[in-house]
Amino acid sequence: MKKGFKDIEIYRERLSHYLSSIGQKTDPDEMKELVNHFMPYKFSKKEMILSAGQHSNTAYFVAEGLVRIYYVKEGKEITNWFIKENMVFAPTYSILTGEANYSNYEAIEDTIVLQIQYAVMESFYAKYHNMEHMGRKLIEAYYGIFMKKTFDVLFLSAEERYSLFIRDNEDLLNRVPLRYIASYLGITQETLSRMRAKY
Amino acid sequence: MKEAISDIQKYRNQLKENLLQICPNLNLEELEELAQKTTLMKIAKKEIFIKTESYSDKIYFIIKGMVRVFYEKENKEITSVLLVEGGVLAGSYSYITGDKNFCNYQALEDTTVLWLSNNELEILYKKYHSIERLGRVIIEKYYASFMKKSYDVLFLSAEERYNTFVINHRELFNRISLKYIASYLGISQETLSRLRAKQ
Repeated sequence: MKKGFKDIEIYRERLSHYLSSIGQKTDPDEMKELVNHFMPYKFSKKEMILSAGQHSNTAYFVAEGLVRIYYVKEGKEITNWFIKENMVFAPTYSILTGEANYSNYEAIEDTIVLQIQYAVMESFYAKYHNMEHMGRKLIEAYYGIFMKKTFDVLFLSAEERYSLFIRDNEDLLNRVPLRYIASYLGITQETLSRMRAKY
Repeated sequence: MKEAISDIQKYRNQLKENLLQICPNLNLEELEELAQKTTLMKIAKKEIFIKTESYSDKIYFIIKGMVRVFYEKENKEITSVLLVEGGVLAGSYSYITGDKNFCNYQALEDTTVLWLSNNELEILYKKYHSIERLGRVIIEKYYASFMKKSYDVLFLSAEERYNTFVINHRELFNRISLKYIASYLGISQETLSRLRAKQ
């Protein structure tokens, strides 16, 4: 066990719980074998986990903390996602297209992740049918989240996006600077304050 | 009709070849079983065969022809995806999120597809590891192109998007009305004509 990560077994247990909820028919022994390949890393608040322009093949599980994913356009940071504890994230653009990643992944609280190379996950997919099933469900779930976000931006009003955000992430209001939430919702901070006052 | 029977076998053979290109290490007997479960459907040019607001229950494999995916926003049609022979499609938003589709799927030429119900597909996934892998690889492929399209819209100029399109889809120029290409690229038809003249 690595020094400084006394809770690693707890983190791995949370990870297998999460992955089992995605895969539904996973085998406990196979799952244990997989999660033992996930290694812990610590990032301080404001530290960059992965920067735009890099190639990466790493998948992450947030054991503790909070990660913001954003890209920079015309000198402006646009926040795309918040990933909190017990969620996974990965530079899927880089992993699936083989090109450099265009997003930045920043710890916005002290954060502990478990990480693995996607190729190692794929080797488990190839070895065990149950894992293949989980892998398919996992990528479908992420594709779904990506499409839903696209749909929301296309068809929902700022107010509708705000109420969805509150419904799913009420806790984040106290954890995330409002300017990031405004950016995530595609509205100004003034509009966000107005909406908060209203609800 | 006798001829139709030999036709469908020909289409199924084509389907197997197409799927082996996407996922080369498929088990051939399992692939054969998948092919035998497909149903032939011919779609007339201009017909919309998956409508917005519908729920998805099938996956379609394009054997011949071309399909355009579009949504309507503020009474304008926006073309988001163009697919030709070898393409795989489903009302993926509905398939993955369980919500209604927000896109229409229209044949731009007389189009031949083979389709499989989602239920049949799920049964094959459960039964065969290699078919489940095929499912994951197809999702990964379309997730990647969805992300690439989003990336292009975010970061590339109209001219760069046009150049990328020409590199990847040169053959489409002779098959498709320019208004759809312009809509796909997010530019006016005038801009498209200007870019074409420049080449």
